[in-house]
Amino acid sequence: MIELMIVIVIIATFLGGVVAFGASTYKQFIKTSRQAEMKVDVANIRAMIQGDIRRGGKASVNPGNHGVTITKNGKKIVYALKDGAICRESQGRTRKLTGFPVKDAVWTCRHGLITMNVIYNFRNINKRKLECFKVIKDIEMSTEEGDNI
Amino acid sequence: MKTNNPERGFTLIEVMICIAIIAIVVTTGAKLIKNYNWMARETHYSDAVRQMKAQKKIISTKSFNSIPPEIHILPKNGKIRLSNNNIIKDTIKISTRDKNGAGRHFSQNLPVENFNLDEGNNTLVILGNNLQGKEILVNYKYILPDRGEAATVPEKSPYEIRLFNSPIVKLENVELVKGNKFTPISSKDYSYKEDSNVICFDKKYAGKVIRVTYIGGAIKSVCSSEFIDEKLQPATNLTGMKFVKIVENYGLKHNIEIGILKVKK
Repeated sequence: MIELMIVIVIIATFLGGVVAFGASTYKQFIKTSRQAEMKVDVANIRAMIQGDIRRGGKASVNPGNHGVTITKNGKKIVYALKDGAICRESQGRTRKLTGFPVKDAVWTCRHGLITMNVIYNFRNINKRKLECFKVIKDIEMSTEEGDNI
Repeated sequence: MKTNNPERGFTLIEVMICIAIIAIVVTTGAKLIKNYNWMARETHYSDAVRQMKAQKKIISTKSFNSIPPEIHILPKNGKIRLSNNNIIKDTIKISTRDKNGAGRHFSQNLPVENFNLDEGNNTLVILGNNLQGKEILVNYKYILPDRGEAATVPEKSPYEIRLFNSPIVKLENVELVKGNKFTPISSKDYSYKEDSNVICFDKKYAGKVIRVTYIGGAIKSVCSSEFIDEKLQPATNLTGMKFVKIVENYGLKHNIEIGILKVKK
């Protein structure tokens, strides 16, 4: 009986370790994949803004710094934080560009670079804990081909 | 007692020892993976590259003389104000032309005990008065601050923002942002703890956009430079070219490096 109990305790310890390891790996995997999706969203927004500038658009940061306006051929394209998402407004049409809820998005302009600071709020497997993730991207204001920052 | 039974299995003790060893290995492995935090460091890699490219752009707009090695004529009080902040004290190298202060090459190095750095205002104090009125060459490495992060201070308490390149080693600038206008904020209006990543602001900044420039612990950028000749070899005399190197350390053994050639106009 004692031998059996010892074996059960040892097996339980072993399985506990395996389960903890598995859970930790799964949690990390989910977190990383969600963060990767957020990064891709911001990289796409950056590429869209950079593309609009390279095609001759003039960029200016909105007065509240929560958006950027690109004026091209008299038309305005606005990338701004709206209802917890970054949206693109052009010719009366609004398109949501982010999949996860955006807590804060700030654009600043200095040294010929527009810096886009996006803070996401997301929940991992543990739904009670709200986590923050920040992505920063630089956009060149010149129309010349430069480094892909 | 030896048995010749070919179907003999493992004894209970053998199985127990085996399971115990596996349990120890798995538990230790799980803890090691958890502590290693390599995933976070990989995240820093792309940010280190972004930061380096942005710093390259800033350095390329700087004047030739504000990049080390700097040439100064030593005043009577022996104090020289250097052009850059966050100088790494151990890397300062002061050279003179020769014993009499003449000649083309800066080949005589001043012993370390003959100068001090006042880190607060980046003033170099040369001890002794034999070099006064003579040209000296000062070379050093310095830490570049982060490109800066901006965030909105929450409308409700706590009025704090979290920084990305944490923990904070040194704050450089805290500014209020309104469009393209940056207004410095007094240090009375915010507080932070070193080695943390949180800055707390006064209530009046609720809902305002703040930009923070700082040296962070996650990504460290060190800039060094030297004169080079027309064969792109290090030179001890004054040439019209400097080679600037930025090294980004983002937590792993391998750093990211970039070189910039700066030519005097």
